[in-house]
Amino acid sequence: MKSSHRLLLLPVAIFFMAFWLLPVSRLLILPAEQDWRLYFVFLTEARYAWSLINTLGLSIGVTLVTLVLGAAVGLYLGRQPFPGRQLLLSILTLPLSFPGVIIGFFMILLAGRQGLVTDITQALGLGRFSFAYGLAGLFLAYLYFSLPRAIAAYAAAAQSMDKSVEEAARSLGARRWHIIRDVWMVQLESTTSACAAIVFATAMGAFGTAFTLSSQFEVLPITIYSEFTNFANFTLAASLSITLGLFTWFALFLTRRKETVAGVASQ
Amino acid sequence: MQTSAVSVNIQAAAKTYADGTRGLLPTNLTIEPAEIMALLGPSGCGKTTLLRIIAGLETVDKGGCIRFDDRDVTSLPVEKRQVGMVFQHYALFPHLSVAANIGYGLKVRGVDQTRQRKVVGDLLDLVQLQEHAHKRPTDLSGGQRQRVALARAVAAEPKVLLLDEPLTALDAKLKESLRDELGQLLRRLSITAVYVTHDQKEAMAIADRMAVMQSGQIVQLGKPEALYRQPTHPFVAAFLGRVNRITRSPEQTAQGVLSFDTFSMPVPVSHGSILMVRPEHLSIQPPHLPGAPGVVSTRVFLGDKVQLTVSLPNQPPVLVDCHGDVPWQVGDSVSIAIDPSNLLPFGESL
Amino acid sequence: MTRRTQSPGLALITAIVAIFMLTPMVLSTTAALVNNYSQGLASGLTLRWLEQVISVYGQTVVWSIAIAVACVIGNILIGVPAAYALARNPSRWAKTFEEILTLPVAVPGLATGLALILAYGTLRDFRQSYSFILVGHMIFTLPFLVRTVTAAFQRPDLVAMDEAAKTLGANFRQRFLGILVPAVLPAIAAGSLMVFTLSIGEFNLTWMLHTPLTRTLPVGLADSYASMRLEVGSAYTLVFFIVVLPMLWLLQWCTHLLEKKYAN
Repeated sequence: MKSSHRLLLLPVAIFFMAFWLLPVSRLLILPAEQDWRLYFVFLTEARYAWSLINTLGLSIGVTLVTLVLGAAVGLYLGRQPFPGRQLLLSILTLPLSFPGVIIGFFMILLAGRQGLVTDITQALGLGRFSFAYGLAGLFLAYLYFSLPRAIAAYAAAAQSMDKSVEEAARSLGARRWHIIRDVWMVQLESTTSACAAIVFATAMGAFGTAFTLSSQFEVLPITIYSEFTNFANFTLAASLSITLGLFTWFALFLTRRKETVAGVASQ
Repeated sequence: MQTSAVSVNIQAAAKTYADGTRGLLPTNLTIEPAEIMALLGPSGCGKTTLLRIIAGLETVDKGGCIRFDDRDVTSLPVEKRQVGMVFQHYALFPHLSVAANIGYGLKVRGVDQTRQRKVVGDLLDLVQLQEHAHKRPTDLSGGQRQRVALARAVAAEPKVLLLDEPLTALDAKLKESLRDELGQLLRRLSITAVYVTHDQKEAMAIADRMAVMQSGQIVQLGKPEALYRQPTHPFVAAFLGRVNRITRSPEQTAQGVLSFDTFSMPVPVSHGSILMVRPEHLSIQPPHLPGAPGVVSTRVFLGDKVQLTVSLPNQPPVLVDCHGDVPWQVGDSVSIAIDPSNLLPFGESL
Repeated sequence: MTRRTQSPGLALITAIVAIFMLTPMVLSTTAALVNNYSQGLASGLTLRWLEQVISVYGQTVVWSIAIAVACVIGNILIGVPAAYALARNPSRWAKTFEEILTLPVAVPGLATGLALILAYGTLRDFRQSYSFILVGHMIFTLPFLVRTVTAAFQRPDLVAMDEAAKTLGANFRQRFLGILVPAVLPAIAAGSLMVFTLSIGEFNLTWMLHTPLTRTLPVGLADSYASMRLEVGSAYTLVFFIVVLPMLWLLQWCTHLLEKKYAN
């Protein structure tokens, strides 16, 4: 690499080293300074194991539902223009800019103690059914901030889908199911894996939403946070953060590998 | 353009890429001052590599030497070589106006505003884009952009002008008219120019001399007409125009004849057993006249001429060009006359 | 003419999702403007919750915007030159560098926050300033800008323009500032928009790094949701909408304009 180019990378390199690489490396070895077995505390302590499983399960579930719903809505909105479509799309992707705490608050408004749904169920004679503070509320909240990403991605993909491939298939006699399987799903494959990766990673690391809901369903980021603030247990927090980070990174890695393989296979 | 033209001398220039592929084998080439030299060949032949080496956009392998007149420029970076380059897709600066694009080379060299304006104005006249001076490149047509690219390249009075397939991005009709315009323009500028193309008609029309390249080396160098009429290599013969291949048996070769069933004609032994002849050098005539007997198998009407495919005994079919008024139709029996002096002599080099 | 391939199923799903997404927004806006949420509109409209929010949390809005702007500027200054270097050197080394830059996005914000506190917690002045938060935001948003701009620099027509400028005698500074940066302006704008959006809404990292005296808008929101009544929380949310959303739309519109102007 030319020396002039090296110079251009220097500011970023220094900044990144000082404010991320070195601090995080320090964090990584923190558990080892006490006891290397602390790295595996997510396996050895039931509470942490459950927290991790909860988080994984929630994230996977949210990702799957988001992909299906997001694809449905994104494709519907992306393929054919109709008056008001742009407006609807803007509204549906609005939550992309909301911090997670707002979405937690939204769930409280919907289904908390004074929530709308709670009022509705009371009016229907089913008693006050407030589910905001349990798994259902958390799941819906996660869905709320994940859907906009998927809708935006699929709408963009739908708009740039090559219509001529679909037309060729139709002229050869393919029916609707064939079109979905052989044309759409193939063209949307990279969108799907990229979308799945980012929805999963966001869900794994989401903190503000669960925090606002003071959810009974404990997710790992909340566990990490309470270890740090309530018990000043830096080391434990570090170990759990590493675990969370590794699982998230691994999932992202898998989807990128799949992308590359798919990319090579399609040559 | 005031400066006198320079010669370009290339010695042992080769290019090996990082992954080991040899883009260019050691090549020697001398370009005379104010000459337009075409580098012609199929993709991958090394013509663009050679051009970029002259420009300084690629470094030449050790041992290679590039000279402009007496000056060794091999180690000079492209910014200092004072070459002008016209890129295949023009590479105009989209955020600058036409005038600003043309004047860019002058601006970065610190030429004063008055002189800049004059030079840009003269060039706008030369390429006839005066009314478009303040437009953006995106508002121009392909042919107009090409002229801006040319004007920009010559504004700073480069020593050598390099053109990388400048007409490739245009549609066929435009290509032809611009080709002639470009040739005239280059001659007016009397600047040493190197012109890369894969289109042999373009090269023959514009160049003073051309180098036909294949697989990283120059196969033949010379004036276009000489290369066409006297190719020294079958690749050159086949690349410039079309050729028919006629094979004769070892006995015929030894006897110095070419036979088609009943008809025989003298062809020197030295011509070897594979002969090449161009479609326009085959005369087609009524079957009772002496010549190789054949049957017309296809007929393609091309407006100014008719292209017939004639099947000959024991040979692959030959293409014959005739002008549009000939009466021959598919299925007609005909006789093909060949003037032996039109046979391209390659001997055993095939 | 294309036949309508819309299925009523998709339309229904879209409608349900739309209602799901819209309802809370409407609810919170209403709650912000009524006297008493449990009584709803019947309790009358008022602006007092908004006033209360502005007096208690007004500063957080200003600071959030300031940090987001500083984040954008900072990332442009260090990120754009780096993007150029990465674009011109497609070696494995450069790819690894870009991957590493993206790590802060994969790693949960909490971890980055912890790491920063661990490393710099003892530097009181730094720890207790807004710069501490700014640094965290820059680290987290940098890869978005760098990725977008690197991709723009790698476009073949940009490479050709760079070479053309070289043949015309321009040195690096002239090429970089005069030709290349203007050409990637749309990508810089798009990347900056992402950086701004992410910074304004960032909570996970900021919650770890903040102090009572250095609070951003999302941090203030969390505080109000926990400790204030529903109406105040709603009013604060409404302030977020009113302040931040038009800003984002304005930036989006500017990006769109730049794209049209510099479309090649």
